[in-house]
Amino acid sequence: MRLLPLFVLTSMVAISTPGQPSGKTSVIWIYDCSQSHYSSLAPPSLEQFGVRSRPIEPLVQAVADNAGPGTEIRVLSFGTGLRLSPGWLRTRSELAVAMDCGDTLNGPSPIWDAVYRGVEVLEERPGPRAILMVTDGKSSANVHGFQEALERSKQGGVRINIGLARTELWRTSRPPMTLNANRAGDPAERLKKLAEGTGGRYTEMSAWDLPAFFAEVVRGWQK
Amino acid sequence: MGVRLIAGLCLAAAGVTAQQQPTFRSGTRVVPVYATVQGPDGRLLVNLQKNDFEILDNGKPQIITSFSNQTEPIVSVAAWDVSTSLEPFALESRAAALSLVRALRPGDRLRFGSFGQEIAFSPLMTGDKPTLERIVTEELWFGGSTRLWGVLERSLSLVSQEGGRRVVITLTDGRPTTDPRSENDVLMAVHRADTMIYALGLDGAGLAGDIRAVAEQSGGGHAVLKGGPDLDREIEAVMVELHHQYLLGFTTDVSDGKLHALTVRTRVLGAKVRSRRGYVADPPR
Repeated sequence: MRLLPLFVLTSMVAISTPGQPSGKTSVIWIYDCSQSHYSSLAPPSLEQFGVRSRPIEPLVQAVADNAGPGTEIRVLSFGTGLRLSPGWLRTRSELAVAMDCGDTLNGPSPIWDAVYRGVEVLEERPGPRAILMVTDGKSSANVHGFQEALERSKQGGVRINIGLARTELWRTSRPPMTLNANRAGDPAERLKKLAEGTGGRYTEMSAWDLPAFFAEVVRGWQK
Repeated sequence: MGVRLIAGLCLAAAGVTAQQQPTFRSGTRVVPVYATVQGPDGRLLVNLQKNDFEILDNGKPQIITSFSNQTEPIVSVAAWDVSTSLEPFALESRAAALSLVRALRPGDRLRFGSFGQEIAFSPLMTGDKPTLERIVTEELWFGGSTRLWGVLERSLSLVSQEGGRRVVITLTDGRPTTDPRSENDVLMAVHRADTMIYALGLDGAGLAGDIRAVAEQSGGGHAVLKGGPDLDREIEAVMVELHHQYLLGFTTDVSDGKLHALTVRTRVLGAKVRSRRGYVADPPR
């Protein structure tokens, strides 16, 4: 009998341009509203057992609390299509509203289209630029493939740092398992290639450590 | 068995109803019927002529007004079952998808879709093999439920937007779970869409009877792939079949909105014909 997965893959990607002049940092936060991502998240009732159920709220808080006045964010959610928030957001409440999946919820996972589009939007912005991403890495229904997204990121002069979190559904003393690495492949493989291919950093961590990692990344933009 | 029975009752009811109720006539339309013919030895018969065929609409012989035995490109939606039950066959499933891409002929076009944790159809309908191989390699993730009938209905809808010889190819074990749609919904869509369904199973995973029955009703076919060294040959056989179908047509002025039973026969002794078993006489568009 097959049980629920022990780990859920959640990734965080930070894309930043190296050696840029100081100024306002423009950030595209790509958020995975696909059915595969949402259906694999644990219900909130399991938090009492040490399970991170809905990772986005603490991440929004971490980003909002640590982003200085010089940071502007647009949210690009994907699922049933891509949806870019209409303007640059400056407050936590604006950010929280924009993270609502709305009519993109429960669709497919055009991750690489989102990266491609995110780079396009950022290229129009002066100053430092970054991309944050929360996804399970299981891409589908893309016009642009992984390689195109990678090349587009390189062309846009971005470095991609990835903090990959495997959320324990049940707390265990065992080291993280590669649960999603089934016979058809591990979605983490391409995320790792994305980081390495653009000269960025790739690390794996618990989902509970993601907010601190997000906070560290966002604080790094202030320097 | 259940599907055959229900479909049979529907078709019988359609025939009776058509006799008892007034027929609405508003213009004429051509009803296209694709037919695959196999000789007594199981080999495809590809050189028959118009006079070798007979078409019956609700049991009444029709005059065949259009005929082609030319090889034609196909336009297809491939709906790949990536549900949990097929996860142990992930490598074989992906290999079959890649084999299908390799077997495409010039002019063929394919749109890939998968169903498991999510239902995802590629936005690209293309004959470009590197693009299709990229989609197969990057976008098949296993796990989740089997909303087979809903996906087939959607596949029929997507491919109906295209012209040409249309087919939905699905690789599945044919065991739906948490599916709000039924095989009868798919059958009605088949009879409206003039599109055949070809169902593929994998050795070890099997192919359930209901999906086989739906494929037969649509005029398509089904096969369980042994895979391994036989895979390319098996897929090639499917593609040969899909490209060598006869296109028959008859003209009708009946547009009663009802399901009509269709029968295609051949005068070739011992030969078997596969074609769709019904059509809905909707008004001409």
